[in-house]
Amino acid sequence: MNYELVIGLEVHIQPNTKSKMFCSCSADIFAAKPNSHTCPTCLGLPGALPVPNKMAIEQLIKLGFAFGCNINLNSKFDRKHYYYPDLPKGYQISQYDKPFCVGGKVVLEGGKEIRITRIHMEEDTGKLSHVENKTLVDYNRSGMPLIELVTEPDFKSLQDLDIFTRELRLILRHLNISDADMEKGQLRLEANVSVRKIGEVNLPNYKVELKNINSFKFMLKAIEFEFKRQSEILESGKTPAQETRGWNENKNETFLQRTKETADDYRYFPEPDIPPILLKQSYVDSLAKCVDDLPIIKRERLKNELGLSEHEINVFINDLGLLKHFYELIKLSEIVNAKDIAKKLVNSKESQKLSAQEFFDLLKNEKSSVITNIDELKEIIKTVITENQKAYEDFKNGNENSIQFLVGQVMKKTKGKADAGVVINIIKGLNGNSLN
Amino acid sequence: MNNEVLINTAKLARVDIAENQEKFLKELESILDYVEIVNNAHGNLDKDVNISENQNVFKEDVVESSLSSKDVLKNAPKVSNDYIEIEGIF
Amino acid sequence: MTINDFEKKYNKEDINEYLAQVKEQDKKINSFLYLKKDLSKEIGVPIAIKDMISTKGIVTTAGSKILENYIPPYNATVIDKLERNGYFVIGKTNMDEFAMGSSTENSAYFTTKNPKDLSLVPGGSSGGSAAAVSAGFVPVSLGTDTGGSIRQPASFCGIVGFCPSYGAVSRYGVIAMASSFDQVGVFANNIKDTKAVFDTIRGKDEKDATSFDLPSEKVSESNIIKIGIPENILEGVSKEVKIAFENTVTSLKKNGIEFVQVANTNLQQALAVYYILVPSEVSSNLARFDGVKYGKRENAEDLIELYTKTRTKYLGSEPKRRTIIGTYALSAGYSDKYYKKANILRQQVKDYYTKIFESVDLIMTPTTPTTAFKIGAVQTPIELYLGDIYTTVTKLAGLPAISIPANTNDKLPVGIQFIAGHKKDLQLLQISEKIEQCLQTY
Repeated sequence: MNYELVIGLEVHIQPNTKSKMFCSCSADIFAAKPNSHTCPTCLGLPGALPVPNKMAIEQLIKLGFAFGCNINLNSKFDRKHYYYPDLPKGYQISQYDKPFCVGGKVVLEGGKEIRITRIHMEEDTGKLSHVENKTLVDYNRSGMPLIELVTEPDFKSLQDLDIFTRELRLILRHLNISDADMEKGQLRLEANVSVRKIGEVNLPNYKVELKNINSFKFMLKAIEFEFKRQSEILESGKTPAQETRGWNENKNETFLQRTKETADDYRYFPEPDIPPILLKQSYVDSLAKCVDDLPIIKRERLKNELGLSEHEINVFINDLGLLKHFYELIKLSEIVNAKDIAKKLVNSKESQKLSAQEFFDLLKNEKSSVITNIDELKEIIKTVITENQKAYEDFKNGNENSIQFLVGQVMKKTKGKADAGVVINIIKGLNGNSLN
Repeated sequence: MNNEVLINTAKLARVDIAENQEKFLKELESILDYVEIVNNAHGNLDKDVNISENQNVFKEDVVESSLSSKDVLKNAPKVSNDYIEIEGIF
Repeated sequence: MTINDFEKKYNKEDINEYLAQVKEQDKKINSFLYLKKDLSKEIGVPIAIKDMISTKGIVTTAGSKILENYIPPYNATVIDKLERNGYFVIGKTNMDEFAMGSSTENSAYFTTKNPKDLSLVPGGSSGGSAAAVSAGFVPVSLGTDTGGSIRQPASFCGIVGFCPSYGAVSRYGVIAMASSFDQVGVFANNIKDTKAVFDTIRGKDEKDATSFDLPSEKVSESNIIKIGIPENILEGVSKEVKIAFENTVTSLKKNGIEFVQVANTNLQQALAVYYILVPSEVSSNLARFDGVKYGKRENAEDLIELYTKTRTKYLGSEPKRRTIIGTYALSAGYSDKYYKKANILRQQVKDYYTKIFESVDLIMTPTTPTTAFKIGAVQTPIELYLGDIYTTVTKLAGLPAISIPANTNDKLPVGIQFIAGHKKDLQLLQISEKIEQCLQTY
């Protein structure tokens, strides 16, 4: 019996903000002293009230545009109730039936389409740690903004997941929505995994939730394990239990975290402390411009406008810092063309750390380098023209071969260090007002 | 509302009413009887009521000082270094 | 005692003598849960604060055992505003636990007595704050009003009790009972003092997203004041209330105020809506009292036990009752039937008032159907809830309302309620000043 995977993803993303979602505590919590970034609001002290962080919402809407979602102009927050020590108010402020974004999709390399169900805003919980018989609570993370993105169960393979997650990380970084560092908890994945016979069209009547797995590598392993485990159960005629499982990296297997016999009753109702959000279309449209920064758009530009190779494009797209540096160098360069800058940056790690001046000097001093001093080059060209007046006259009268001859003479004089294209431009530009 | 529903609801609310269960049940039944009248309402169940009439209230993404961890931990029933501690429940 | 009286009578030198007098006399009344021990460094007018409002460094219990040892590390916005503008907190006053109740007998600590008759309740839930002003301990005090918890005690104690529009005063730091109903309000002996305190505490607060600044239009002095009296409004009230109400109408008429009859809304239904929506929000707002971060904690073997034992032991009956009703009304399968339907009716009440205020400036009703009842009087929850019938309905629409004492010639106090349109607080207070003058000259 041949089986296939049916996977949906729930992604939690911590957007780049300076402050938390509903209060003004600093969001710079990584490695901070426990309980040092809290206030009455994110601690859930009696009497405290939430006020939503506009920047966090903008980050979410930008992500919605990246995935082609519908942006809900009428939106609100809701309270989601459950009891747990890391949830100080006994409810989480989240979004239930009017999330900021619904629908949308992404087409992966290779053509696979993944539909996005929704993207909503919520606050994060504190952190529990266990030491001996004690449980320790740190509320620094409580109240941090979280963007939750949910996909339809459209993933069929581990490759799909890999491609999607890579692209998602790039989108988040290029649009400056989040640094998406999984190790810092800025990107968290949960997978809903089921298995069905190949050819079966209906969704399976159960799903297993894979949670609290903090590396992508382990998530893939867990899914692989589940594929085997669930297939075997189905093969025996039974249905896998609907449950939540984690990954045990020592035993290389998934394990039961808790069974969900009944759905949680979260008693959702609209958050009375936060008035409704009615976005203007013009404001939303102004955020739509962010799609210009999408990796897919940048790839096209690097290819079509600058003529970079596939490899070079990949290096730049995967290193946003380097890409920015590349753009700066192009701006500062008068003679060197983009392709050569790119080639050097990609091939030489040392060159990436140089200042602009040092970089251009380096290029100048190398064999296939180019003269960067325009004035110097102009002088040489004028000398060549003076020494080859006839050829110059011929060129002015329309003889294309003459210009090649002149370029050749310049090359001789510069020992090949001039850029032919630049020389041609200068000669053409001299245009009779020659010796200026 | 009956005993079973009452017990399940109390569990959901993390409140134990076993001691006064009968009295509670009677009181709750009478209150629910009284409020039954709202079932006469007709209209859009999903339209929200906005009492303050405010909308689009946000805060800018600026940082203000947090409480000192001393102030945070001062009210905690049990503390361990800089953490709030709960004993032996997991 | 008015603010003026206090300022004339006491100065820095005898402030602690004043405090000693208050302490001594409060032994009969029990209005304070906490009284400062030394006022020598304090400047300005003393104000008593209901223990529902966070005061930095001073225990704030909400009248409950679960917060018996809780010391807020921050001030409510209203406290900061008062302290910066010539008032000082003299103490925290007794209240029904988590503001649930109409007599202050639900306090987990002790009962407060009505200064006008010590065998009677002062009303609730802000009974302590009302008693402190009524007894002359302080010229002004703060209370909170979710369904009448300022107006009803004002009526029982014979003082002014003003509940502003929802949103006119910041709720930041005010322990939440029902988030879309709660409001901070003022007790005083006259409208002038009420207005002075209100002007200090009101205004948009960036920490409270539901707060706003009031529009400043005034009622033209020359306009005739038109007051609407809902049809059959006196049905079921006690004899004393009926007489006081009718006498008030007479004296106001004598001074040129016009009265018209207006349609009544279904008060029984409004009360039902209130007792679905409020417990729903209560069940949510009380979820944070779990013994983990602050307040009392019971020992337990597992998580469910930790929460259940702590809450069961330290929360009183009324909070438990409302938490269970609210949890039920919000739970899957019931929320459409109860919570959502109640909201539809809430909007209808809001619309009803908007319509009425197109043709009148104020609506006038009794504040309570009876005068203060006896301490220890046995009433079922429903009977108690029915006592709120005039005050709860205004909160469905977030309206400002004030209770002004009628002339009762040394008989038990009766409060008369005046209601204005949403955000018309300043107009309400302006007209109340006129009403006060009329009643004084009658």
